[in-house]
Amino acid sequence: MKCNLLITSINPGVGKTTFTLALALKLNSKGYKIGYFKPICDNYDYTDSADAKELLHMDEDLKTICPTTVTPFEYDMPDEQVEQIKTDIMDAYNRIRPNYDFLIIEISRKAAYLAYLNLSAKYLAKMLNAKVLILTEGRDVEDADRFIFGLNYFTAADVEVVGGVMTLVPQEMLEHFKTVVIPKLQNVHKLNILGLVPSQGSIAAPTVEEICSKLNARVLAGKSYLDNLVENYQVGAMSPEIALKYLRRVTRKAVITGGDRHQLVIAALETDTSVIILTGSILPPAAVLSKAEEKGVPILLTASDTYSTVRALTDQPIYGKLYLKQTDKIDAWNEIFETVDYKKIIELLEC
Amino acid sequence: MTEQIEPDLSVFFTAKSVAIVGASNQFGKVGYDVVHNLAQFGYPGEIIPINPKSKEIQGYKAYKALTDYPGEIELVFISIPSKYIINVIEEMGQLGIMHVVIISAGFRETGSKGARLEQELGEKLKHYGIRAVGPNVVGLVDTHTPLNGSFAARMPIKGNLGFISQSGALITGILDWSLAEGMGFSKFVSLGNKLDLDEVDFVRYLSQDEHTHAILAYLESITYGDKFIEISRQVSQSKPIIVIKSGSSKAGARAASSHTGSMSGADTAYDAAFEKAGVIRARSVEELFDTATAFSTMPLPRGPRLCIITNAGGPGIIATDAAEFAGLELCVLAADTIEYLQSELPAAASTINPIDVLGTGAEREYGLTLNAVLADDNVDMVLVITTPQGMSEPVKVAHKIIELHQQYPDKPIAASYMGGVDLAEGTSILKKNGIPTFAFPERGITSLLGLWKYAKIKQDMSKRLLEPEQFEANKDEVLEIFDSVINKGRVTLLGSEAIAVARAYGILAPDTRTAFSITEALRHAEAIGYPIVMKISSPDIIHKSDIGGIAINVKTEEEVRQQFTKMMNAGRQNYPQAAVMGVDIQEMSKVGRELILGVSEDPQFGHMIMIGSGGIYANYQKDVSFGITPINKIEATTMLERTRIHKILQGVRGEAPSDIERTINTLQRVSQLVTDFPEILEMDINPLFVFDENQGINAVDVKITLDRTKILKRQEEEIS
Repeated sequence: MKCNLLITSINPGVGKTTFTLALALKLNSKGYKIGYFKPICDNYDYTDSADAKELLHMDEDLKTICPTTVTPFEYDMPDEQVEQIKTDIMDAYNRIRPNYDFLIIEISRKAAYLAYLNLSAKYLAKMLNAKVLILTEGRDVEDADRFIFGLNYFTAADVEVVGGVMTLVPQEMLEHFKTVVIPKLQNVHKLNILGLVPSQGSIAAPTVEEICSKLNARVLAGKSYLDNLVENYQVGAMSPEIALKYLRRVTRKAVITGGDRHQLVIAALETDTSVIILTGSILPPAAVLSKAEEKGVPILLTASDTYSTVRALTDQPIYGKLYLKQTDKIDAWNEIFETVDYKKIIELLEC
Repeated sequence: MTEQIEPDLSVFFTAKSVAIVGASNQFGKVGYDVVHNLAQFGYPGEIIPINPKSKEIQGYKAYKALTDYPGEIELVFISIPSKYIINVIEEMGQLGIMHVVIISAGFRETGSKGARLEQELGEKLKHYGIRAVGPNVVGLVDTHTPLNGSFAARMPIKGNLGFISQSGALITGILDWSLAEGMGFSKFVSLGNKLDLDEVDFVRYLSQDEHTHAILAYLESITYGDKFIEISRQVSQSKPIIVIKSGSSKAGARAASSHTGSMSGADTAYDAAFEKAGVIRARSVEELFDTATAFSTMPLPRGPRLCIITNAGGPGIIATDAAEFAGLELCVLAADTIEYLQSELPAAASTINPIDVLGTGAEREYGLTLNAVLADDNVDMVLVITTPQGMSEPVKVAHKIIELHQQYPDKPIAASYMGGVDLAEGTSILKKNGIPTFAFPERGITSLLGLWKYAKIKQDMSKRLLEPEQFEANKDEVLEIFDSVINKGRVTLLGSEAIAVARAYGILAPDTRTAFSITEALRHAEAIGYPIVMKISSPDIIHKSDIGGIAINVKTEEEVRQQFTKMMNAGRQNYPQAAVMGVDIQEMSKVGRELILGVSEDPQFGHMIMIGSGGIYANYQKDVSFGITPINKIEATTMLERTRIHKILQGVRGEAPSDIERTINTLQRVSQLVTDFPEILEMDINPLFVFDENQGINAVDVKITLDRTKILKRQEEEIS
């Protein structure tokens, strides 16, 4: 008998959803029958659950995969409603659980989400008979602190932590983490580090199409290339003479600039660019659009100014979803699971 | 499409039969003009109008389609709406007609839809191997066949200048002007969108055309820069190429890029490329034609020594100024020439260059003076200035100039007939007889200067064409570093990696190691030995010193700890999004003269290499000179000599001279590095410390940015 696996993080923005789905896919491919369950959604669009349903070929309806929604705008809900939510979760859980070897349960946002309503990760883990896997970024040695904090938080509540996975680790830091940080986490703090996922842009990168819909932008050129992945953002504010030097330092990027800066757009088209976002509703000359078409780079036009556009894109980063057609991304994930000890995860789930 | 085999373009100018798809009886339509021009300007071949609605066009039997014509068609002109053109090409393919001039517009110049249509058209042409001029052109003209396949209103005078233009309107304007000026052309080619044939193809073609003595071009962009250089280097050894490249000012570049959608900002790249290619660059249309005029009729000078003959002081001085600014030398006449002139000219005349025959100077004075200076070995070329004065004999003087030019055909002569009405006849006689003649002396200088520039290009080209020396280098190490950087998801090298690359190519640089923590930093410092230099290490931070990211002369462990913490905090505060990896620990260098040495891949011409005054003010001093790689020792030396700092390196104010030899050597090594590794997009060594003679150099800060796509492509090729 296996316990379920609950995946959470101390901070949001560590690539949790993609990691969760990719892990489920990987385990499915290894012959396990894995279901995805998200007890509480934090919005009403159910995209994560819909993606999971599609990717994992789940028969259950979305209301079973994600039975309840609690947004951050209803912390004042009456106690009865909280109870009802718990009941709904349990009902759905009981329907879905028998269909799988075990469930991978994703927690919205971060471990502490809805703690105020007693619906945070540790309560849900207990309720749903799950052991916990903690994700944290590995950009900085301070992230090790977050692991320890998470480990203590769950164990104090009597919830078993199977281990942790570090994501988004800069390639240069891998060696340092492997040789210095991780041994100490394992030996001194007794936390199993089950994976060290190197930072690889293509994993979390959104497509041009995702960016376009977020910005409500108009596609002026390159309609056939909306699948391009965007890994970086760069504002085109430099003078055209030196633009190439700067633009070349950033790859697979969205270049955000004013529609009247067409020399900059042309320079960007000479570099590794996934999309050009023109702001202020200023149309560029026809020859520039032709060039973009030839280079296979979409040009988007938005009415808002450059500053607001950048904020819209970066304040709440867009994490690219995992689609079946995006073989690039799935390949990237498969490669990454070479570094994640999924066998050990399975082993530790034994109840 | 210059990657294809060298095409035979002669059919475009000498076809025996031409079809005009879209031929029309309606005055004002392009299809009318093309038929009309072919007919009225004496095209000797078959004219075949194609129009589904007419039986006869301008007196010629018309056909509904190309397929309806029973005979052979060699060349097709198309002037129908853009969306129908692909069908015509298909028909041509079926019939085996291999040459087309697509006059119609409505393609990439109209936006992304037009661009897609043009892509499809390109694929169709490629499929059948059909060679095309255009689309979006005025057409082309050959004055010798004659074949006027254009919608220009007139026919140029028969001559020996070939003119290629990316602007169709410029062709019609120049054509009209040239008729008034009496200037002759061999061919006019309008390039338009350059979907297939471009400037390189026509430069190559005109180089082999017996009717063309000089190749002129108006260009807004160059499609295949490397090919352009390669071909022009060959061609310029036998025929001069004079190019006006527009868009050299900032606003001009903006206009050109909006017109063509191509990068036109890096004007320095064009200068460097034209120099490498042996192309003479004209800065204005006037300069283009003033230069070209001389090539029509004049020989090349042996040297830059100019003699000016004038009948007025002022114009003589103006010409002298212009000559010196332009880089010509005012010759020193031989003693016996001066003596002779003194004996023959009035006492008040100046017999020292510029020679002033005075206002009284007439046929006799001009004649004996010109005769004497043309015979003088110290004179390579002559400018004759005439102003209308009481005793001037402009017509007689003109005849004298013509006569003496025939006697001394090896020395170029230009004339400045300063005036309008009174000198009109003399001017006209001179022009008709091939003496480049202008109203003002500066233009005469421009004209002679062009000849000298070309003479010099021919003289120097053999040295410039020498293969660059190959230095011993560790290519594998560089390859390994580049692969590892790309596999780590970066395109910029850390300082320590870039230095290792430089060292692999024998470029002297200090021992540099990256530390991710203070513990590591202390270990590296210990190994290198105090004092050390510390630099923040991040692929995202370009100007390290601006945020306190550089510390020199760090002497103790305590200082290492303090600096490490300070730099990491500053990096994160100033660049919250940047990946701040750690700190580079570097061997301390003694200070030398600060130079900058850089390479940037120009989208058109490939690697552009640069050297000049360096340090943190490099961007503001703008004392740099450029070249296109690969460069040999002669080119490297010329580059360095052209900078202002070169003078200082030679030793001024009693200072010891610097190690110029090693600096030039380093320039060559960098050239070899980027030639071996086309994936290097940018490389900067700043500062490059240059020490006293024989003391060498030290590349203390090296930055390299790579082209991810090129490396991935290479890796794939290696695997397969």
